[in-house]
Amino acid sequence: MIKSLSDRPWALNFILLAGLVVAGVMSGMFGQVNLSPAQFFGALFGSADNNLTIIVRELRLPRILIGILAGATLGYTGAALQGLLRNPLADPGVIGVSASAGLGAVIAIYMGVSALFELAVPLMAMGGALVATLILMTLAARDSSILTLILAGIGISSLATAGVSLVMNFAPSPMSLQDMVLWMLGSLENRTFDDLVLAGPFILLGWAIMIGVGQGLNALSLGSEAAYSLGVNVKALRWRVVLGTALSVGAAVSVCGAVGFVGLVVPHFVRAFIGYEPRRLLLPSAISGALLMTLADIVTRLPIGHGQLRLGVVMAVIGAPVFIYIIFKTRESMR
Amino acid sequence: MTGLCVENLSVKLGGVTILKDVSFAVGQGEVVGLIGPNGAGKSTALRAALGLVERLSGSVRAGEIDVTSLEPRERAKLMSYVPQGAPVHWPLTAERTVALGRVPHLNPWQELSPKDEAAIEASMRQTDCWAFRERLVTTLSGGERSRVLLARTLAVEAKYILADEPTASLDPMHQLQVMDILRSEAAAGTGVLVVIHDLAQALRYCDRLVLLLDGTCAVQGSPRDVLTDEHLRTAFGVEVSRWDENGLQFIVPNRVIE
Amino acid sequence: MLAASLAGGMAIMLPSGAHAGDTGLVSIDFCADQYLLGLAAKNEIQAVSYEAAGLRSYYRERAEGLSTVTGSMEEILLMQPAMVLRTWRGGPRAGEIMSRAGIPSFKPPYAFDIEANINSFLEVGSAIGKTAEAQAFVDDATARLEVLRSYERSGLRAVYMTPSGFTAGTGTFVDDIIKLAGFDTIAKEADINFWMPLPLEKMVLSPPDFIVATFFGDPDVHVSHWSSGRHGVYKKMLGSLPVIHVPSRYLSCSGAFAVDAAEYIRTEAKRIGLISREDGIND
Repeated sequence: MIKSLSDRPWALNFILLAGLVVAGVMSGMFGQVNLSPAQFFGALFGSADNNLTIIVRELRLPRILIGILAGATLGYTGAALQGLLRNPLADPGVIGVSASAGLGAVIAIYMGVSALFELAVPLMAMGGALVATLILMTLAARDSSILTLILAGIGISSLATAGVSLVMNFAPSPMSLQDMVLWMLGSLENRTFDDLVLAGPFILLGWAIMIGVGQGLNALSLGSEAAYSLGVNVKALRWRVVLGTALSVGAAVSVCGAVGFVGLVVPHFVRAFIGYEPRRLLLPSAISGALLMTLADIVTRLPIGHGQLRLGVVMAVIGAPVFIYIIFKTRESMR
Repeated sequence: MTGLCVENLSVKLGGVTILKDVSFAVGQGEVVGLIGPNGAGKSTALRAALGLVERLSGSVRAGEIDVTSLEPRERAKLMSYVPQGAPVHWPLTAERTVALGRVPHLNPWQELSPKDEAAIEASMRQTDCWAFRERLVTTLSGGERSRVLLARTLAVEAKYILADEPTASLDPMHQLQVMDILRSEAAAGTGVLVVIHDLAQALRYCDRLVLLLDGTCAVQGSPRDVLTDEHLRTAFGVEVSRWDENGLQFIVPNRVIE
Repeated sequence: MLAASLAGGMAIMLPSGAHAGDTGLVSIDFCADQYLLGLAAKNEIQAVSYEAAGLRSYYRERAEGLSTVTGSMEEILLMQPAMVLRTWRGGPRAGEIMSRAGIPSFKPPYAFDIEANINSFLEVGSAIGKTAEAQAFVDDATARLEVLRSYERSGLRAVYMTPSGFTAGTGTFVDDIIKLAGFDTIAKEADINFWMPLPLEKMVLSPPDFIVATFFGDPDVHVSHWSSGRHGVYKKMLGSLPVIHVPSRYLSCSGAFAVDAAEYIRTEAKRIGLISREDGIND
């Protein structure tokens, strides 16, 4: 089964996509009021202008769509970063990009910049993400060992979190501790279409920049010199991944907080089905990331959580053990 | 002048002049060996020809065309590279690793065509690694890996092969095998530029030799003209022993000169 | 030189306007302020908390001109007041610290319903020697309570909303106040208990008849980035249903002024036509 999927990567993509559609529909059905599939589709596509339509189209749909976009972004950039850095532990959260984006968004909102112009939130989030990626690229150029990158990521994340608590203390508009937690862990609660419209274009732009990097990432498996000799513009490749990640992750974080571990967990599982070739991992990781986000969001709405479970917590419960497991598996290559 | 021509190449790295005004050429169908003591700049010269190292001055031309004016893909199809101690960062199968050699021939979205697959199989058979094509590269022995990586370079089907010590850390059988492969590539019309440490291999397999010493080209020409006792004493500080067998000449370092 | 700077340092340590040795009444937190300002005369008050003149303070006009304290035990010990009133500030050992220093203090017990809230004025009154004033306050409040309870129930259902998307359900004083004002709330039907985020979906499915809102327009109110208060649906509800904005001063401190709050709601309801004129309060 696994071998045959490895020969036909499109089969895996199809299965994952089908799973995503099912998860999306389920997400639309669950909530404070549970709907039947018929009710859900009726409200989604129908022309009746009743309460169910409002619930499905204005309250649930933005949440589902943002979850899909953000999840796909995190999955894709995780796979891309791992291909670029040649290390299975890289992901926007681990290397500090998500936290920096969160800091940018927090500064925009609570220091009053977003009151002046709304675009400030995604723009400053992308700026924060870019600063973090640039620091990391500079470090990686000199010493690309896994340990260095993870340590740098810890440093950057800690700095960003400290920055967020500083903002909390000094901001003119008040910010609660809960807000800080939600920014650093992520949440999809109460997302609106305005959020989708604000962040969506930048997410898509980031994706567009990264389209086609797969082949170059494959060549990088042989080292940057061999890749260069194969005609890959390694510098341009690096910039495309860096910029694309900063834009799409930055924009995603600006509307759902710094959700962690998606980019780490998802490529790991996809590899079990189609092997390690970076290019093949990209699309399945994107779809799986969207699927994981949607499922985690459904979990936060299950009765067991009493409505108190946060998306970031669910993701961390899934992701942290996987992170530790990967470390164990790749221990030798860590030196 | 036809062939791959390196003219007046100078390279400075970290403030130190590694190469000064080096010129040599590789014709299609010949094997040219870059030899010299450690630190002479052999690898640097090879890598500068490829464009991996910035040139302070000098040019690299293929016939009339300046290599730096080529599109990356065109350059890749012109010169392929066997790096020294090359890594493979992911556990790919041997076949997929060799398939990477076809990258210069494919646009970012293309899958392998039958022509590509034929080239891959041919290069793997030539390097005697077709038998373990499904095995993961990370599970192969050092010798097997080197052959897979050489197959990767052959799969590019470039006009020139630039190899940096391709026989390093290989057992005697595979050392001879690799040099035989390079010779047969040359026989098929490819130009081969190879950095060699082993004097016997340099003598036996190369059509011409370029002896680098302290970053300059001390002497170049046929192996007989370059590997004289005088040159070997000056460059390597050793006395050598020579003998003939079956019409082939062999050479081996004998003792260090005080 | 040293003595002068030490003396200067000592002067800075005392709260503004207060002098060591003044004896009077001090309240150290926002809710205690209300008791003090409501029952005592200005010249009997040594100091109130720094929040007494704030937007949320019912008696903020009465607090004008009075000295303020931050409520820390260090300040109190230096001030040596005649009596300290507190509800929530001071820390768990505040009572013990003050009694060791010989400073009388009083903390009214927590009130669980409207009557208990009113009666706590009596308790405070006797503690600070203002029994007569307290009794007058309680009598007046009780009478007005009876009047409110005598009105016909309207049957209209209200929902309480804050800018950050929170609501008050069954078991909160806000819920009690709205009911006291003669209306119903959606709390029971929508299964809303205590303080929780407003369940927007339930609101959409069975909308209330009108909204009781507070804190809208307050400059320092916090709106979480993930609250339902950001949502278009929420804002639409605010725009399409009748809204009674109750100033926050009526609803602070666990409804100490529940009667005033309920009366305010009724007056507003009458003004916007939710109740017919005859049932309204005569001015």
